[in-house]
Amino acid sequence: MSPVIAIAGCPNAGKTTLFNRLTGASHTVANWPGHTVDRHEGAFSVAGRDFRAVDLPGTYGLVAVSAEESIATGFLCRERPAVVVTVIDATNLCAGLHFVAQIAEAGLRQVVALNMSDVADRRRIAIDAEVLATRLGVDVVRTVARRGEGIDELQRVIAAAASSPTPAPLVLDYGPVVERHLGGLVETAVSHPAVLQVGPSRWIMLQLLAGDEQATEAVAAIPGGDEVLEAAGATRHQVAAELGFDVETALAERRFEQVTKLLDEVSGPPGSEPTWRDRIDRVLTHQAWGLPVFLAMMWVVLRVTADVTAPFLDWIDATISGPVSHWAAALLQAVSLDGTWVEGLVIDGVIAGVGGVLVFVPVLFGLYLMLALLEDSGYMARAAAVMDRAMRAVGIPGKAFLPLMVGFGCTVPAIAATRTLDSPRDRLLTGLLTPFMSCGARLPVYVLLAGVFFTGKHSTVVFAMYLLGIAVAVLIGLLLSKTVLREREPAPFVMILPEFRLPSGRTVWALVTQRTWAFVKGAGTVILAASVAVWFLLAIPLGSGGGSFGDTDVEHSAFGGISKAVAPVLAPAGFGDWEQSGSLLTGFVAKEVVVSTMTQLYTTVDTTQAPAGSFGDDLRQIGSGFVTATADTLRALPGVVGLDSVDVHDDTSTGLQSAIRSSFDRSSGGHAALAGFAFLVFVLLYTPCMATVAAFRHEFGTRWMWVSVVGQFAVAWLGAFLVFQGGRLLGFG
Amino acid sequence: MRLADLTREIEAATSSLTVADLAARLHASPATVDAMLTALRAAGRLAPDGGGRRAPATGDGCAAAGSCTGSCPGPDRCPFTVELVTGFRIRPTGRST
Repeated sequence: MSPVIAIAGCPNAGKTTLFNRLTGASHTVANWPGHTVDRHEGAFSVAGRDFRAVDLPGTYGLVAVSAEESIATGFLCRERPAVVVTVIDATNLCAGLHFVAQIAEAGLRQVVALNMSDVADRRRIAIDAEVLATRLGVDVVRTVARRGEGIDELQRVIAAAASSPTPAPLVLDYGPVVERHLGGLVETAVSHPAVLQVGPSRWIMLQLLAGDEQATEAVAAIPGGDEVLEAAGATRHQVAAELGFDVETALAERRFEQVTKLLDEVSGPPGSEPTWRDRIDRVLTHQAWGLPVFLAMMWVVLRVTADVTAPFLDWIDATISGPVSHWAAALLQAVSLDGTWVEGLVIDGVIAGVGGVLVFVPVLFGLYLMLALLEDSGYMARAAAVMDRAMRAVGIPGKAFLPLMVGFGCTVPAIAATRTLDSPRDRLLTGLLTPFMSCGARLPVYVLLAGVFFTGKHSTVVFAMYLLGIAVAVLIGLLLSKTVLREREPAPFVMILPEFRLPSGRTVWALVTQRTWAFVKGAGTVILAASVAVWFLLAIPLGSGGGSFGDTDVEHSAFGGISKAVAPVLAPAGFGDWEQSGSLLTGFVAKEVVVSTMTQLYTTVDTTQAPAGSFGDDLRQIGSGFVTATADTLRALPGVVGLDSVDVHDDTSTGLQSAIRSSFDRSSGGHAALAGFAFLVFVLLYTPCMATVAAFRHEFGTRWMWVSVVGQFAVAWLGAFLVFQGGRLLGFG
Repeated sequence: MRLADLTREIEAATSSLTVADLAARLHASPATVDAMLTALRAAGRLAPDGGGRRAPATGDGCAAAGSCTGSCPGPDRCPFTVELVTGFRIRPTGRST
């Protein structure tokens, strides 16, 4: 039978990469901890001798505190492999040495792979591998698993180690109090020979003192094990009483001292002065300044999203309403369908509806790009730390911030992300708050209406919507946590923030394209279906005087009838026109459908009036439009950081914008801007889309789904009503 | 400063703490606090409480499945993965024996 070689070490040390190099396997490698949650097996040969390799999940030590760690420690302690290859991240030697020390104490044959040596060299982290090998009594091999460096030597060293005698367990000094009691315990173990089958007597007793559940179970299963456990339990109490604190911390303390001493010898003492990263962290996570910094970051994100991408928005709009509509009309003419209801369906239904949403792809691209840059640089983790404190202060679980952040992209996966919370109460509370975050689908509505009513200040209005969503979520959370979902005592929590890093172009590009593509796919599926459905409802005449199918006054169509029935409910908030209520109704399908419906209701692309150029002219128009948009975007960039920039916004109202303004003017009695803002507040807060409702039901059940649906509608109506009526009373709009 | 001081500081906290917070409270360098937290993790005194880059849902399926406006690319390629802060809680002592 082939000797078993275990690949073990701390999370994210490069174990799977090294395993793949050793065995020629191709298991997925991830640059985040906790990716390997089960063991992988493979094989390799050295000089004709076969070995079986096992890649274990990451663990910091041999006392397992999670399911993944139990897999690793259980394998190491029960199977006792022929050789343990301990993979150390050379840039985090401290964590690795704690693990090496514990493996050595367990008396396992060990080879240390000093991985990522190239990164350590670049960071000028000097490591004396020879001193390390001598002091620990193990072979140390420098590796760069990513490039396959050191793998041949590692294989030779593993083969040699597998043939060598089992080493004597490393003996660390745990101080006079622990050592005095440990001596008695070891005698107890020796008097029960079956205990020695579990491992070296001193190590087993240390594991019992450290409260290791796997060691406890193993000892409990052998004859006389109860007596050993009883002795260990009594010793724990005696040691704790003598030291004044628990025995686990006492063991950790002494090991820490000895590992620190070794670390000093091998790599020098840790810096006593804060690094530039530490200083930046102090500012970004500061109790007072952290929140303003976060808000400033969000401001920049939304300025880039709303302002810098605007020229591309205009370019796509011109492309869809120009060349694309011409081509569609020409195609229909070629198959003799011009002038029929099919032309209406394609031009006014599909192109106006889907195109009206696709116009906002650059906006979503901008949002996802900025969020991806913040995520991959490590800033989002800092924001989570800041928001954690702020949210705990009002009784909302701090970890809720993370699902809420996902909610800025899409509410559906954000609802699913509540699973990362432990308590059912925290999950439900977070699930109820998540839809108040402005998802990407609402952004096109904000950009469209803010452009109509708040020209020049539209990015401020969009930012205000994001802030208002967070504020309402905090208020509702506070209300719920003091009433039906009373808060429990929060447990202390230490957050280890990832290092600041230059965002990886590949990671950022993958995140941006995948998320944007999800939006585009939505335009091709849900929005297409909704646009077609709306067009058919608009084409069906209602009553005898409504005309014929496809040739009816939209106000007297089936869609108009349904919308008019709902409109009075919304009239007190200033948007009681049937077009407005109809758009909001379709928003239940997906929030961006509000835009596509408005485009269908307020505008009709008259292809017969548009100058039809040649195909070549159209392509030239698209190309020159793209160049202009790129130039305008570059000119708009300085404005994001407050520098003077050329105003690239076209102040000329489009037909759609004029129609929307007239409609709101009519419905609000001349307070169009105020009604427009109330409409935005309603879109922010009202009943989430049907995919979110389905996800909510899946996660929390039908009862809470209805609480969410009805509750959000009530909150939205109240919010919009207060904005409109309050604004009128105060003389705004 | 001893590990026992650090565990006491964490246990006494009423809100979450970062390494920078702990360093400021204990008048130590962040590198020292980081090393001490590593020692507590290695000894099983700190238990993980989430963290790492994660898809929104794992395990028994995603609530977003079928409604992600198209086919689900799976947890490894989910466009809505999020970097969760790696968190640790003090683990109660005297668990087994």
